[in-house]
This record gives sequence, C-alpha cells and structure tokens, in this order.
Amino acid sequence: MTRRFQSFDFRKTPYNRPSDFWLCGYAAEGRPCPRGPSAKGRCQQASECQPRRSGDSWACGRPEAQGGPCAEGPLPDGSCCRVRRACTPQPSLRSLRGRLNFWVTAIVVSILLLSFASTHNMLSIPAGQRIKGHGELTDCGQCHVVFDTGNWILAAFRGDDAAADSAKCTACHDRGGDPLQPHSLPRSELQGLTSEARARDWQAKPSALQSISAKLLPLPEATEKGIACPACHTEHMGAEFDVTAVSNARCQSCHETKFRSFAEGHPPFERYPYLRRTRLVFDHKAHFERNFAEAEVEGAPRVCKDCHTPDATERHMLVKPFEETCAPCHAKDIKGQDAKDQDVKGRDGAVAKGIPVLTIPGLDLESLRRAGIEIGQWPDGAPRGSIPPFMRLLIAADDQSAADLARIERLDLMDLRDAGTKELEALRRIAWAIKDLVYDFVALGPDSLNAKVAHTLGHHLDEATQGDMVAKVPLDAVLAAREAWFPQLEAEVLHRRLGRAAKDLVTLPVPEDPKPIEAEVDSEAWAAYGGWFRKGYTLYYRPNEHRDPFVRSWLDIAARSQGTSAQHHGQTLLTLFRNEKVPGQCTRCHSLEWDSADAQSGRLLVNWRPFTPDPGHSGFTQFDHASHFRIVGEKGCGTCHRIDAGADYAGSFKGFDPMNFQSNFAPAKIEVCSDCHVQESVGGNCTQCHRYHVGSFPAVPVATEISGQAAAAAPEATAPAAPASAPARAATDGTPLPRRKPRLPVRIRLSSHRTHGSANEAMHHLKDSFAGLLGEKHLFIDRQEHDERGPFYRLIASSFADPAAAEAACAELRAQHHDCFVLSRGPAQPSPAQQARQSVNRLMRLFGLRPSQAAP
Amino acid sequence: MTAFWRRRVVSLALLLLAGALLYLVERIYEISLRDGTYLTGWVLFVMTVLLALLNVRKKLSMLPLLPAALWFQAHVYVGILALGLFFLHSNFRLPNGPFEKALWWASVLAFATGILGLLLTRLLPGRLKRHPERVVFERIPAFRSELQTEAECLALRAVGDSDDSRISDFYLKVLAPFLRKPRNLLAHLMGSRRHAWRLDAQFRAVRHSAKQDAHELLEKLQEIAEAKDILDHQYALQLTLKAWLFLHIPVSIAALLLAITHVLLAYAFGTATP
Repeated sequence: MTRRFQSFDFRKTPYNRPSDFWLCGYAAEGRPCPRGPSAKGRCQQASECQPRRSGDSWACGRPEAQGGPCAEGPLPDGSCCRVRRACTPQPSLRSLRGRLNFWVTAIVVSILLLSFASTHNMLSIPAGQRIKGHGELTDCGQCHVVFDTGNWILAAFRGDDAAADSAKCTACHDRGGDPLQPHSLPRSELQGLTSEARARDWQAKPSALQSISAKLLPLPEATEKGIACPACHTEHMGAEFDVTAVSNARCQSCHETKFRSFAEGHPPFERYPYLRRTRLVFDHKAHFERNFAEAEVEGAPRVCKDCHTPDATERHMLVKPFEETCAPCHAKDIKGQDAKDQDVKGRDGAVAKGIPVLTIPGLDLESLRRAGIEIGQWPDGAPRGSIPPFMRLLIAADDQSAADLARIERLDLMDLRDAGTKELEALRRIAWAIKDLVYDFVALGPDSLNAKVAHTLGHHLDEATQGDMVAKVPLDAVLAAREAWFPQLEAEVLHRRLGRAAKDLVTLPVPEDPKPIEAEVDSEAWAAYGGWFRKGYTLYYRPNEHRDPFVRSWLDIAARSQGTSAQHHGQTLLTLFRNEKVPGQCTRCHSLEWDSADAQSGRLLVNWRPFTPDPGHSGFTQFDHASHFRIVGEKGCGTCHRIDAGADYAGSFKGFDPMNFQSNFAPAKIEVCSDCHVQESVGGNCTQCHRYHVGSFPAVPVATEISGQAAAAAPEATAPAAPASAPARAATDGTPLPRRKPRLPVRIRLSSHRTHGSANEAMHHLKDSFAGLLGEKHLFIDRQEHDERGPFYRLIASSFADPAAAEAACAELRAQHHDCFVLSRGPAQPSPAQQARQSVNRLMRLFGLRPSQAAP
Repeated sequence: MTAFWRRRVVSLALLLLAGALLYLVERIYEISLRDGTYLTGWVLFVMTVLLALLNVRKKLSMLPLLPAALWFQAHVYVGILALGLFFLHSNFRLPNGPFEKALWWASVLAFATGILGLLLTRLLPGRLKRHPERVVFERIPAFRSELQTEAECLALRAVGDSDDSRISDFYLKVLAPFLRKPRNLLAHLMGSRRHAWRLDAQFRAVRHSAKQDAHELLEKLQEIAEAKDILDHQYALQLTLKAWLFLHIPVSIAALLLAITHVLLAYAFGTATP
C-alpha cells in the first residue's frame, strides 16, 4: 500500500511560505513555528504558542498542526509554559537565488566601472580587434572624437557626430575634396552623371525587398550632409575582416534604378570598356587587314601579346614600348629615311629628311623698293618659300605680329606687284621681325626664344623644355647662317632700334656674286643620324629617334598655344607632324586632346604615352586581366575584344574630345561576364568590378628632412665613439634591456598659416616636418579643427620617450612662424593615490558629474 | 487535433512568421543605407526587457496582469525569437572584442539555460506525476524527518524485542544514513532504479537471515525506505526544477547589464546611421 504523506487540512498542516527569505530552523524536523523567522533572519518564536486572552484568563494558542492546545495551558502572566530553544533560521532557495543575483550584478557592475575608471579608460574593455592596417591605432581618440571628451556616456544620448569621426578617417585615407559625398565626387559632377544615367532610359526590375525599402525607407536625412565612413565600413570585426565588403543591395541604396543582381538587370555595356579614346592612334582593323595580313611582313605581330603585356599588378594590359612594337615598320618614318624630295615638295618648306626651323623666304625686292618699303638688306637669291611654323610661333608672340602673319599669308612673296599698302606694311614688319629673331637668337642666345614662347603661352617653360626646344643647336651653325643670310644684320638691327631710318645706314657693299653658301658635302646626307643642318636659306632639323626631344617640346608648345594668339600657327605645326611624308610624324600616332586639367583654356595636350595605370587613381570600374587569362579558352582576347568592322575609328580623332570615340572593337557583351559572374559561381558582387570612391588619391610620401638625418648621423662621424646604446649592447652581449619609461601620449596643437597651396597640404607638410624634428614614427592627427586663424591640428605623439623633445620641436616650428603648442603631456608616473583620484574623476566625468577637462 | 496541439501549432506558426518578418525588416533596413544592427539590437533589447519582466510578474502576483502561464508561454516564444535575432544581430559569428565576447557568451548562456529550463519544465512534471502524490517541496524535509523518527522507533523496538542485533545493525549502517538526508538525487534525475533494487536486495538479505517474527518489522522498515525513496524522487526533480533558475537568472542579469552598456557604447562610438 502506498503511503500518503500530505494532508491538506489547514488545521493539521503548517503554513509554508516559500517566498520568504528565511525558513524556520525546525521546519526540517517537521515542526516549524507558526510565526517563522523575521525578515532579517532571526527566530521570533521563543515558545510553542502565543497564548490568547479569553475573558479573564489566557488560553493556549498552539495550532492543531502542532498538536493543539496543551494540557498545562498558559502561565498566569499570559506567557506560554512550553519554552522552546530558538532555532537557527535557514535561507530559502529564493533567498539564495537573490543573493547570487545580487553578487553577479555587483561583480558585473564593478568590472564595468573599474574598466571605465582605469588609466587607459576604454582600453580595458576594448572593442573588437581592428583590421591589420589599423593595428597601430592604439588610442581610441585617434578615430573617435567622443573619446577625448571624457564623458562618452552622455555623448551616447547627444547623438553622434559622424562627420567628425569620418574626418579622422580621411585625415589618413585621402578621398579628395568631397570625401563624404556619394562616390567622393562633387555634387555637380554627380548630378551630371545622374542626368546621363537618366537619359539612358534604362529599366530594370528590382527585387521585392529593394522596392519595399525604396518606398518605405527613404535615405536617411544624414546622407544629405554626406555619407559617413561607417555607413559602409565596419571596424572592430577582426584583423582579417574585409572592411570594404558591401552588399549588392546596399550598393544600390541611392541608385534610382535598382536591379536584382549582375546577371539579372545590370545595365548593358553600352560602350564599355571603350569609353575614351586610345591615347595612341592605332587602327587595329586597318593594320590587321592591310599590314599584318601579309605573312611576310617582317616584324609584324602575330598574336596580341606581341604588342600588349600586363602591368606589374597584372590588372591592366599595357602597350609594349615603341621599339618592340611599331619600330620595325615605322622607325624609318621618324628619320624620313624613305622620304624623297618630290614627296615633300611644297609642304611648309620641308625637304625629304629635314624639318625647316629657320627660313629666309625669298621676297619680291623690286616691288618693295618701288613701294618704298624699307626692309634693309635681304638676300637676293632666297628662293620662293613660306615661313616655317616654328618661326611663325616665335614671331606671333604679340598680337600685331600674329595679325601681320595672317595678312601676308595669302601673298605670293616673290610677286608683290599687286599687293596692297597694308599687306606690304605687314610684310615689312614681318621682315624686320625675322631679322630681330635671328639677331636676338645670335646675340642673346636661346633665352630669346624662350621669352617669346613664354609670352605666347602665358607661362614660363621649364629648363628641360627650354633646352629641348633648341635641341642644343651649335652657335657656329647659327653664326654661319646669319653671315650667309644677313651679313649686316647687327648694324641694321641696332640702327633701327635706335630709331634711325634704314636708308641712313651706310651699308657695306655686298658682293655681286656672293660666296656660295652651300657646303661642299651634302649637308642633308651629312645629318643622316639626325641633328641640325643648313641648306640654302633654311636651317633644318632632322629627328634622329623616337621620343626626339626637339620635336616633342615644339609639339607641346604648339598644343599649349591653342587658345592663344598663336593658335593658328600652332595648328600648322601640329598638322605638319601629322604628315606622313614629313620626318617625325609624331601626331599621326600620338593623339591630341583637350587638356582636362585646364578645360576652359582650350589648350591641347599631346598624348606621348599610351595608357599608363595611375596607382593613385580610382575609377568607377576595374578589371583584372590576369585572373581571366586562363578561362578565355581558344578565343583568347577575342572573347571580349571583337573587331567592329563598321566603326569609324579614324573619325574619332578628328576632334579633341577624348570621350567622343568609336573603337575598333565592339563593346564587351555583358553575357560574356554574367556566364560566370553569378553569386553561386565566381560571385556577382558590385565591388568585384566597381569602386565606390572615385577620383585621384595619390599616396603622400613622408617628408623626412635630410638635414635632420645628417644631424642624427653627425655624432657618429665626428665625435669620439660613444658607449654603445643599451639596445645595441643587448644585441651584442646579451645584456638585459633596461625597462623603458612608460610612454604617454603628448597632445600638440599645430597650425600653419601658409598662404600658398591648399590648407590640407600645408598642414600635412607641417605635420611631417614636426615628425621629422622629433624622429617620431607614430604621429597621428587627432582631429582637425578651425579657429578664426584657419585650420589647426591636434596631434597625438604616442611614443615620446621625452616630452621635452616636443617642446623643443615646437619652439623650432614657432621660430619658422608656425603655431605649435604642447597642449598636454603625460605626467610622471602617478602615485597609487593619484591614480585612484584620477579614476574617480574619470568616472565622475563619465557620468557628467564634473565638467570634462577641455584642452586649453 | 487537441486544443493543446492546436495551441502549439498556432504559436509556432506565429513564431516563424514573426521571425521571417523580423528578418525581412532587417534586410529592408539594411539596404536603405542604415545600419541594420541598430534595428535588430533595439528589438533584441526590448525583447530582453520583456523576457526579464516575467520575473517581475511573478513577484507582483497580486496585480491582475494576465495569468502567469500565459506570461511563461510568451517568455518561451519571445526567448526563441530573441535567440534567432541574437544570431542575426551578431552576424552569426563570435565577436572578437573581450567586451562583446563577454556579452555574447552571457547571452548564449542565458539562452542555453533557458532552453534547458524549458526542457526540464516539459519533461520533469510528467515524471513527478508517476507517483500518485506530488509532495509540496517545502514539506519534504518534514516528511523525511517523520519517516526517520518512525524508522528509529522500529529499530529500537527490534533491539528491545530480541537480542538479535542484525536488524539494528542494518538500520545503523544502511537505513539511518539513507533516511538522514536526500539520497540518490542524480539517479532519480536520470530515471535510474538501481539504488532501489540494491536496497531491496539488502532487505531481502536481512530478511533471509532474520528470525520469522522480525519479518513484519522488516516489512515496515522497507515500506518506510520506499516512502523515503519516493520523497527523494520528488525532491530531486522539484529541486532541479528550481535550481536551473540559479543558472538562468544570474547569466540573464549579466547579459542585460552588459547589453545596456553595449547600447551606450554603440551610440557613443558607433557612427553609422541607426
């Protein structure tokens, strides 16, 4: 028979209070007292019952569960006669749980408070590990503005200042002038791109989530002020975490037309990758069909890689050097080896193998004399010819001369009978300008030419270009030319410059039969290896190699003359070098385009180099050629680059807009990419092909002053050998290293008020100078602020062995009229009492109970 | 389908629906250039507070705040939902910062002990019902004391009735230690009966060697021992039902405190758009 334990008769069972903190010590014996222990855990029942008054007497109050009223009854004074020993109350389970909860709470809160109050503050409860590249950032304040305020808890309720923290990011990661704007582009440029995208009228079907998100959650208002870095980059996720990883849907958050994935809805490649003109004019189709098709052509490429090669990063395909590609067929064109006189007849005075630089054109001297046009002595035997473009560019330095050149352009200089007075006057001025040019060139040297070109272009040329411009023409050659062309040039020019009439000049008799000016050997043949030669009344230059500096410098000058008074003559020069019958032929291959750096001026630049990747430039798209080599199969490059037979490639180069382009190749087909680029295969992430930050962000090298290095090295060279340093001793004899003094952060206010260059550049330069003075490796920009005097930096130098060095470095910068003040520096190691006081202060600041210490 | 199962199915369906909805909302939030972890974090925090309110509700039993059973049901389902959201919030990975790791582990422990408690509260009551009487936990020591006194009296009587010391020896060596305090708790929890068989074998051995007139007394002692075993069974299971809270509540408190700090840190130092 099963025993039953419980009776639920309230008179027979004790009353249990499981929620009480304390239980009667006799409960375990089955005879708990009815009152139970007090809230503080003390026994309250010294007897078995609490007698109750009944009329004039006392009645026993022992409950039924305890055996009912006793036989003896209460004592006369009303107390129980059955005294019992006080129990030791036991804590209930609930009480034990409550104690445990209390201690857990106390321990957790204590740990947190101790962490907040510790010397290194948040470093005691560091956030997640930073990526490797940020491993050197050991002070939270280097990235978080709020850290240095001391009471970040209140900051949590104030709302964040994303832009301020992002400024700390961009202090190291330069993303241009508008780093937080979408794509780091100026708003105007972005609006332009948006308009272009809208004009395409491209439709795509977004995913359901994208549609709902666009309808229900418009972009946060904060994005109006710019998109803070953490919107896309998450730190503290581990050393190997990819902070640049962004989901595809998130990439499209701002885009008006959204699509599901690369394979489903990505806009077609309209022109990609042929968005801009090639810098070198090379008609693939024409070469393939006309030139390379003949198997016997020596030096002709057989495969694409004969001319193209990957760059060091293996992302881009480059064009191999001229010598390895074009030279077998075109090297001789530069020197004009195959050119014949009849080919170049009448083309700006060129001869087969030389380019005319200085020419004395033949004039109808009889007509000039009759018209009273005084030009002084002019060689009678000068042949019919025109003024070469080099001379025109030099003469047209001023507006009057430019106008005169234009006026005489259509004249037949050997027959001036029908020329009008104005034309003849213009011719007179030009004749004297030619004489001035020759005279100044001899008398003043090449600098006279530089001055004229600088006047035409509006800026001075650098020294290298100045030297290239005259190609080191020998003085003897110029003197000989002057003697042969204008024997009295010096007297004539000086006479005229003194304001005297030319007719008053006593001229020396000119021999009737002047000495032949031709050399006994053919000067053109003599200059077979390039250089200067004179023939008749012309001084020629013959290019001798690809990248000829003379031709290159003049073409640069001609390109930059566009938009000036000499632009017409510059054009003539550029056209001359496009002529396939003239030596040089540079601009046949090297395209001309608007100078994007100075778009308003109308100036041109010559693309001397083919596409060269700029590691500092970040474009919207990127493509890694090398990783695709193995998968293109038999089609090879033709997988993506297919000849477009109908494209007017040559027509693209008629203008100067590089974006107006029809490539020899048809745009890539998106299907070629999307066959593999699906999420399940090689991935279809936006960031595989696109970059978010667009622009030029070159790396800024460290400016370490050599003088500082020399000073550091000097004692070794001059002073007697000093005792080896402790680290050196440790390295050699195993002496234990002395313990280094604790290195505490020193905060410096540094500002530059330079008037030239951008403020950022100036500040970076100053910071580097300061770092150089200290020999400090880790110098971080804490924040950039502005006051009424301009921007200034708060810097943190985290590893000073001696803070006095910072004072000294500041003093030196102040001597250079910069502002530099040490705001605060790490004190000597504080005593335990000071540390405790600091911790308390830190905690109080944390909770806003004391104003935070603001830097002076 | 019974009402019980109907309620389970409906609750699970609602749970799945709420989970899917939360996931979709987080995705939508994320692709609108906001930081989805703020959304999931706040929802998680609110859920944590709701979960903690169950304890408050139990302490405020005098207020008409819906039945406690309903609160417990809500606690279970919100807890399961919070578990999924927690992993979504932590991106299904263990964070690497010491503070975040502590929060992560505290949360995981809270969830784990919660699941353990859920399993215990679903499994043990059924086993408690195997015995016709479910003894109030707080009264078990008193009943155990009664049994001990009763057995002691029988053992004394056995000593007085005969000069055979085998029963008293058996009492002193085996029964008295067995009756003095709860025994074989783990075996009861695991559902093992080996200890009962062993005791039964010991009784049989004593009965075999004892005189015939002592058999009745031995039977009474065995009846007391069996009753004590029932009490141990009740005690072990009911203690387990109470003891798991010694794990669950402290780690939940720790997780809640760390979560509050985490919210402060996220708002002070996180600069993404919530």
